[in-house]
Amino acid sequence: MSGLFLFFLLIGAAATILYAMGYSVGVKQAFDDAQQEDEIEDYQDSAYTVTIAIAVLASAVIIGLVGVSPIFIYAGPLLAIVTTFMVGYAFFYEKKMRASGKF
Amino acid sequence: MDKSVLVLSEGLTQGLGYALMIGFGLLFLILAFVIKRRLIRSTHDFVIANRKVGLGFGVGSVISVWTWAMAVMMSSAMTYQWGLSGLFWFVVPNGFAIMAMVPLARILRRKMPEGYTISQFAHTRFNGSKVASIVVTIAMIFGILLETLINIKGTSVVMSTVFPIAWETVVILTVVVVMTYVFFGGLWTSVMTGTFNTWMITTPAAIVVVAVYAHISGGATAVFEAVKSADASNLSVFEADAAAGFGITLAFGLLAAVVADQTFWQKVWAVRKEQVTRTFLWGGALFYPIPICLGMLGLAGLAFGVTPEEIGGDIVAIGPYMVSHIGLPLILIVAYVLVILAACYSTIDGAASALSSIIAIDIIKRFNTQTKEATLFYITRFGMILGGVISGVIVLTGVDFTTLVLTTYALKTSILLPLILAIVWNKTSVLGFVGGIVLSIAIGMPLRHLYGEMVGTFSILAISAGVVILASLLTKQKFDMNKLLEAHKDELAHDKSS
Repeated sequence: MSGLFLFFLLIGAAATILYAMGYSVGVKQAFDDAQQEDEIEDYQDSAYTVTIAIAVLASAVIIGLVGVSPIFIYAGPLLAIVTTFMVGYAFFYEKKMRASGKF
Repeated sequence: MDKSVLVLSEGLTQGLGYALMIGFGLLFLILAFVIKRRLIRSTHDFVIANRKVGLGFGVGSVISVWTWAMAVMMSSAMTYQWGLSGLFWFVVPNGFAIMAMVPLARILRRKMPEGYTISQFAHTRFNGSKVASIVVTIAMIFGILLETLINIKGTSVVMSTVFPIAWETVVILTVVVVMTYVFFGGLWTSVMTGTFNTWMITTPAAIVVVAVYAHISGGATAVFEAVKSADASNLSVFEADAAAGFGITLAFGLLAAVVADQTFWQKVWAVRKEQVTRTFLWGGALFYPIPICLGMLGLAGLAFGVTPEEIGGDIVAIGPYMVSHIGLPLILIVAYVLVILAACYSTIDGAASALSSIIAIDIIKRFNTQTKEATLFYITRFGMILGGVISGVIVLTGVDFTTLVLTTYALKTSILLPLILAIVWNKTSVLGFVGGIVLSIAIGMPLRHLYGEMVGTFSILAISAGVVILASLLTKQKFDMNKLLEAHKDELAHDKSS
């Protein structure tokens, strides 16, 4: 087992734990919401143009970098684990927003 | 690189294949029962999840629905066929298509907060025009059928290639498994199982790809050097061939596939309104790593100089071929199969949920407004099952679905710009909307047949938009977008309480 593979296993496991915790928070929230008819009226839509441009550009640059150095071959797998991490985080982020009342 | 090291792994038995397919389904069935008991009380809950899907489930389900079984394999295949240019043109428009929903979703969720379907929007927006809403409804149903049968087909190809199982058995099993669990919980089941599947198509996929490289002598550096020495252009993203070959037309096709798809519109109205923008922003951005990660399997295939003949003639098999021939432990091959099953199941259950909303709102409620809640609930669920069965039968008959692909392509591409204009431009008239769609298909499809996909796609887009703008300017109608707000007061929610 190479060190790199072990590294990916460890961060994959960490992201999975966060994901599972977030998922359970989301399920509990959904069950609680079923008992309430709350509506959030005071919220602001986040700006999106710059975020979209950055995401599109970043994806293009990462693919381009794979052709520059072999180390970037691992960028895709690393970012896939970041996706796991971020989706797990999304559950906590929403919980935090609800607690603070700022959307 | 030495190709002789690529040998099919052992231990991939029929029983293991069945266990994976059924086991995955049973897990989701348990979840569906819990969801049904706690969250589903009416058709409203079933088709729109009471508009209470939060950010985490919203993002997770958008990613999983957009990651088709074929997309998992196509990202490797495009890299294998065109090098990094292929991956570039496959990936970049893919995530953008999801994020392109943000401005449209934001407008409609504010203007029509209690909507259910995009056909319902067309019906209201064009003052009850049956033609406009029927055209949109047909386009949505064709799209749903196509995505369902393509995913069933993709799964049957992979499962019957990796395991000694007849592809017909895989088709039947897939339909039975997915329709069983989605029958009980509708959209809630779809988003919760979809979010679980998003984990499957990210972390296990990443581990499998890293393991493939760990099993190659010399690792990523050896692959990089082998690809470079074979043809350095495969490491460039600036090769025009990929753009002309499929990239540009795919970009517009993907946009149409999202904007003209009820699967995504259903989520626009089901996600909590304060989270809609974030859901599609995060969903698009976080989707990107998945095809980039899986594309690396195609690069490994290029490095070994694997030929299409060696993988059965179909380049989409390059990913499964590398994973099952590089000498990985059985558990990692199983993980890759689960990645594909996850992508397949989540897309099919998302499509089934979208179909349930169309059946309830655009068919039953539109044509028989007095339908009782209990009757509506059963018709909606059985209609959804019927859609899955029809897709399965089409695949089983072995018929060439070129006609269905072309019809769906024509409808979706022709509807893209008229639909966007209907949302953002209050002067868009019903004459322009329907005329644009009909004329662009009537002229654009023959042009596509004669001059190829790129000419056809641009013709359809130009004609559809041109006719809408011209006819709308001539008819000088102006729609009061506030009517959208008044037109729908949660009609299914009202049924629930009555």
